Amino acid sequence: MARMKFLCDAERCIECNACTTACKNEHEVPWGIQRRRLITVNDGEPGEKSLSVSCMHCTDAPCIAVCPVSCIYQTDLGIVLHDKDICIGCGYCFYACPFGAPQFPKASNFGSRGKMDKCTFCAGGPEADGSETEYRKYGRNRIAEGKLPLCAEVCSTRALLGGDGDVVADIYKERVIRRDYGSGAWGWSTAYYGPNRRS
Amino acid sequence: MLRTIATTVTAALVVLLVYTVYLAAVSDDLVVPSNGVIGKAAVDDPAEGNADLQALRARTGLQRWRAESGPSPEQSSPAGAPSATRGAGTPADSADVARLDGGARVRDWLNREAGQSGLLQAPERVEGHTTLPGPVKDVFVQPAGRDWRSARNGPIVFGGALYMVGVLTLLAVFLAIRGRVPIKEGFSGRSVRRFDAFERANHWMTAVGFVLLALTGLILLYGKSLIRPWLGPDAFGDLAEGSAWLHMALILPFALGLIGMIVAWLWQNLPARVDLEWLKQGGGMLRADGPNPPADRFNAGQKLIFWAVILGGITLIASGVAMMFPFLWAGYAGMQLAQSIHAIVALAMIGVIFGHIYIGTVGMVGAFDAMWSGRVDRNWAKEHHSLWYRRLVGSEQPPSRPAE
Repeated sequence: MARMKFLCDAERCIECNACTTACKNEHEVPWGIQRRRLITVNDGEPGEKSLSVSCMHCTDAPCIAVCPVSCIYQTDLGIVLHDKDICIGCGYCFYACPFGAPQFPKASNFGSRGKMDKCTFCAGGPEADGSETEYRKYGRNRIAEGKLPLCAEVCSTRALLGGDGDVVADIYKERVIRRDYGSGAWGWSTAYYGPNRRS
Repeated sequence: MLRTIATTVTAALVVLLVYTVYLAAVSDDLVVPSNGVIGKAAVDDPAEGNADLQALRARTGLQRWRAESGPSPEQSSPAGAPSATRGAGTPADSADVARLDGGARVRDWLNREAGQSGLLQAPERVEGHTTLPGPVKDVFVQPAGRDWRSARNGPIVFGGALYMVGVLTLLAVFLAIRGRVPIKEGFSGRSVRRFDAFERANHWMTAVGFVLLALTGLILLYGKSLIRPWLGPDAFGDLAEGSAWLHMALILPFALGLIGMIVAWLWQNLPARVDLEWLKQGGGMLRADGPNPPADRFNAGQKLIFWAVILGGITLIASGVAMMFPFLWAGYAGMQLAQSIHAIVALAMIGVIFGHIYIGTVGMVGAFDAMWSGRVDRNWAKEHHSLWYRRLVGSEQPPSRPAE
């Protein structure tokens, strides 16, 4: 069973922000919402590493488990999608998410949040594939066109890998063996575990 | 008649209790790909069929080093251009990786059974810097979210259900065994003023607020499992959204009511020496023939309810306001803690209020009048609040509140 995964090779990421920019542009993500973001750990110190992070589409997704209205679901490719018609903007998914992926537009006064928005692995949402409604709510559906997430495909240093989990793991393993050092597949042990850890 | 009903209700509640224990035992919270769609009729399957899947897999392989993956399939290479696929012209560096022997570390990696475990990091909180504005954007990974999820979906959901059903069961058992607590000397027909208009209005404002808060809160906690299957995803989404908004709006009557209660009742609810004796005798509730321990305007049980409502209410408002302004002054840990505390204290208070409602209505003859009409029967007052009653009848025109 194939399973889609993201992997950011921290040895290669140069913090160019092409992935975040491409994502914003491709899906016309509104101001203030970051489906993908770049984080630099140990900034300015030895061992500085940059990481591109978005929804990792976890195996045992905590957001799905805690959503009080069950608006989040996982497709057979392991892609975690959600239905904005049902979302109530409670923010529980953000408390549960290890990667801070869910984003909320500010809806009104108080701190109240609008419908959750997050990375869809470029797979749209529950609306008909490639429809105008789907594009407006969730962005482009590249998976339905047989393409992979734009952030990964646009990455100039091939730091951000996205696609079939086994292939991604192979690519990373080959790299690590060739260069004889790795930086760990950041976030993988948090995102992909459970009974089908290897799938 | 009453006992028959109480026994039937007890039996039903015990069955419910056992069922909840069963559910808690078999509960498997693991998320598995549903491939389903929640809410819409069509199944959302991004890559339908094996061919599409193979295409995606092949495309993933293109992220290898370009010398290995070959030219992009979307770009037709001009005739005669040098091929980038592995072959005669491939640099030695890109030879089969299995033949590379980079030392002990590589051998170690190659020997890993899973092939991936060696490259993984232990889950731990990683925080860095980011150029993005906004709170907690600089946190790369916070595994504590999983703990919050386990707490909410495990102990809080099932513990709360067991606790609420358990309290109801105890009350039903008590009613079945003890029956309603009667006025020993019967109704005298003469009444005294117990609560003035402000006290009653304030009580009912808080009460209606609390009941609605509890219902809307329970919809958010249990609706997914209890209501959604019956109502359908879309309708339940609307119900939950309305509940969330009502829940936030109701903070107003509830908070105002708490302030009113503090103003009206705080001084009379301070602990006193008679409370110890009252508690020691169990408030005279346990034995039908026993004497009622003396009590002032509020006995120790009512004082406990008062403090549970005041302290619990303040905790709920504080944690609730923190959730209404997410990440304004709290980080991840603060928000998760606020939500957990809010749920736990709310469930605890719901149980306490079950007891309060029981004793104020079914549990005790003559008690409901105090908060409804504001006047209680003199025999009731003499029996349950002897000290207060004695002070009241001393004066010709009983004041609405006892002189301190």
